[in-house]
Amino acid sequence: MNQLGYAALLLCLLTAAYGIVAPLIGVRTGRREWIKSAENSTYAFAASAAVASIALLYALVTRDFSNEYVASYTSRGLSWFYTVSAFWAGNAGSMLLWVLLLGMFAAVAVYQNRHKNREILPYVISILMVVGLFFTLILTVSAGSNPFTQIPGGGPANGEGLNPMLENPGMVIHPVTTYLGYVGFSIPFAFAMGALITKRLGDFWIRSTRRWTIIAWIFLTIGNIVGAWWAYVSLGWGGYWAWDPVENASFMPWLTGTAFLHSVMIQEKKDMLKVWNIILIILTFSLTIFGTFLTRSGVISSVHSFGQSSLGPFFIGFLGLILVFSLNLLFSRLDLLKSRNELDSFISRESSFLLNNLILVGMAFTVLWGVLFPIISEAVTGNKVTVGPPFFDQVMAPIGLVLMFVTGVCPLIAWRRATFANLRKNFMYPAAVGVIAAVVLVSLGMRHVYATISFSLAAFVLAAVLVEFGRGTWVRREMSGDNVFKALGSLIWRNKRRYGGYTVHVGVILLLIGVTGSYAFKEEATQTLQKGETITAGAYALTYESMETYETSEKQVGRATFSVTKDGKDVGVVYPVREYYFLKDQPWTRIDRLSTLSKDVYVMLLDYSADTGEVNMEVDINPLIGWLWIGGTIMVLGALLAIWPDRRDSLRLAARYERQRRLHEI
Amino acid sequence: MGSKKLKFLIGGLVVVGAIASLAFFVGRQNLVYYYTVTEVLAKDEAANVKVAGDLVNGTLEEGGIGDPIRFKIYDKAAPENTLLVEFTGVVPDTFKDDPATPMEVVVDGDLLTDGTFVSDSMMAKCPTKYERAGSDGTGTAATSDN
Repeated sequence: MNQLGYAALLLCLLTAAYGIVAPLIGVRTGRREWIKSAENSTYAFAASAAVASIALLYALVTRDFSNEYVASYTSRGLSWFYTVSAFWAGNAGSMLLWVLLLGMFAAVAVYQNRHKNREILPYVISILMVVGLFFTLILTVSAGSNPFTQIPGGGPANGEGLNPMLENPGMVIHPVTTYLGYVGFSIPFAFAMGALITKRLGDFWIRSTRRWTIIAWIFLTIGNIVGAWWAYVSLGWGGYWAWDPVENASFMPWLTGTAFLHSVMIQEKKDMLKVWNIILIILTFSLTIFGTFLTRSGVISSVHSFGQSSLGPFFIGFLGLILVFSLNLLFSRLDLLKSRNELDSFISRESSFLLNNLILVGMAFTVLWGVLFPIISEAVTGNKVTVGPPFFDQVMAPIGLVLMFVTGVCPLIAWRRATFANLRKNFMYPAAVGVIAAVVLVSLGMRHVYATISFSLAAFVLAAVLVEFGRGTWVRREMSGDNVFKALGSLIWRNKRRYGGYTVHVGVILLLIGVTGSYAFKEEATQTLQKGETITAGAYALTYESMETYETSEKQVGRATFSVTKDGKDVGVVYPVREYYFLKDQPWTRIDRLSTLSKDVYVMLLDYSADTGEVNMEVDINPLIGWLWIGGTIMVLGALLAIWPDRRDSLRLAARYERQRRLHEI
Repeated sequence: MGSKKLKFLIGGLVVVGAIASLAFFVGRQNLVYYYTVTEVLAKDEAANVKVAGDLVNGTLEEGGIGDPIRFKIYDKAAPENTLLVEFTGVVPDTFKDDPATPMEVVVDGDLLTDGTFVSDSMMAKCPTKYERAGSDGTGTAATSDN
């Protein structure tokens, strides 16, 4: 099976190389067979990647410890669920996952576009296969990145097992969704490059990849939020985001990808920002490669990548190639990207989109600066200097507040030039709601400046969206005579894109409410306790009731019982656990928490004495943190609504394609 | 260049400039110097620095539950230079004193005049823990999850 897997990888290599060259020959000679055959090569690439992946899966589930990768990441005691997830626990497997996802995406994109976008498609295939070739080369040529390496002499009787940190449902969702997001952005990138090469610079490449872009964005969103959730419930340090280089690695393409999603709307509607859109997709795609590099090269130390590897120069070289190729191509086409329209007023929809873009890209560069700062400063001054989480918090908070404001303004302000009447009509009530929220919060005693501004802006944005939903529903109800709910339903269903977008905004705002609450009003307490003693954090008191210790074949477990009261009233019981894994010789803290919509009581058993029963505890009170996960879920649902197949939309698009095709035939 | 274009160019530069200067000034206030053991030993005292070193096996002293732990770290490039660290806080689950697992440590904190390094935040990693040495001696695997 290992040989089969490796053979499949070699086949990937061949089909990718063929898929790069064949379309170019096809275009040069004008012979359709070559292009047809190139299309088939993407299917063959995907199929070979699938065979290699099945071979690795087979080795994992049959516990073939003669395979080095299997022996490193699984053991006999591991459940099948996590055995499967060990696929992407290490370098080699996660590179294979990249190749598999790229193959599947490329195959679907080629299949979708085989009858349209005919001029662009050959180049799209070529570019996607360059990316495919790069990752397949890593798998086959780079030392130690081959997931099918055999251990001489048959391998050990048992594997080393999975790191307990990775035994969490997050392990199944977070890496895969993040990679789906990363890989997804290569499709719009390939189409953008194809459009540049063929000089077909209308908005066709944007329209044909809109769903791809949003799907990639959805996966990256899920990846980031599930990553944060996983860190929160599993890593046991009371937080969910530490500005770790690898978190930053997947946050940066999310920021630029979000900017891209917004600015393409301006190109679709107003034929503006063409150059900017291409720069954004180049940036986003490069950041996904950079993100994979950061995670996998070990160049910057983080919780995610302890291992050093020899992949660094490969990635830097590939990244350089992408940037030189794509920017050079862009400059050679600059004169074709002139817009017919120009910006008119600062107070307009166009300007607010532009501001949103500058802020998102500014955020991405700030994060990049923070990530690269240690490397740059060491190169320039010889001193190794880092900037920690306080840097990111202090820069992102004010920029984030401006972004919140723009989120409220952007969808409602008039195109081109907003009049005073327009502003009053759309923003009078939301602004009033925001001001009232500020007054109420301050009079209730809130003195945290950023938090007060954040909550007031949240009220403003939510009110603005609500007014928009309300107004649309009202008009529809007047016209059709339906009841309110039916009117609201059909309003949303007939304008999925628009109301899906608004729903995403609601999700973002709820998420930011969670972020604000948990950062500004977090309370923590650490204390050593004997049985019967109480630790107090905020309004909560936790009394140490009992301690239970036992051993299994894998680990030693200590499980404490604490009863929780708030203002003297019982609110529940928590069971924080501390484990010690024999095989890995590693302790592990399993937190427990009481969650409500207003706050989480987050309890960690840091240490205990089996003899005396003495425990060392940390208790965190994290206000509003639940809204982070609710907001994230709403963002994803809203984005799904925005790309839900819409018959009217696809008819419009088909009609455009038809017109375009006729135009070309004439 | 039209006056409208100029207006938007200036507007854009103002926004970009604001973000850049915010990042620059906040960055300056939050610099944390990263020293090796040898470098930090050359100083009399230092506040808010990060020190990277390797655990001297056998030096870990654990106090009672909740008490600080003490251990020494050394400089791989100059093994005779060692630094005593007194650490209070959450000990990373990966941290242990075992001759079989070399342990790289990064501690955040202050160097006191008596030569003790007082820290409340640390990172510990064992470079060989999750890797097998490849046939050419290069390890590759990571613990990573994404």
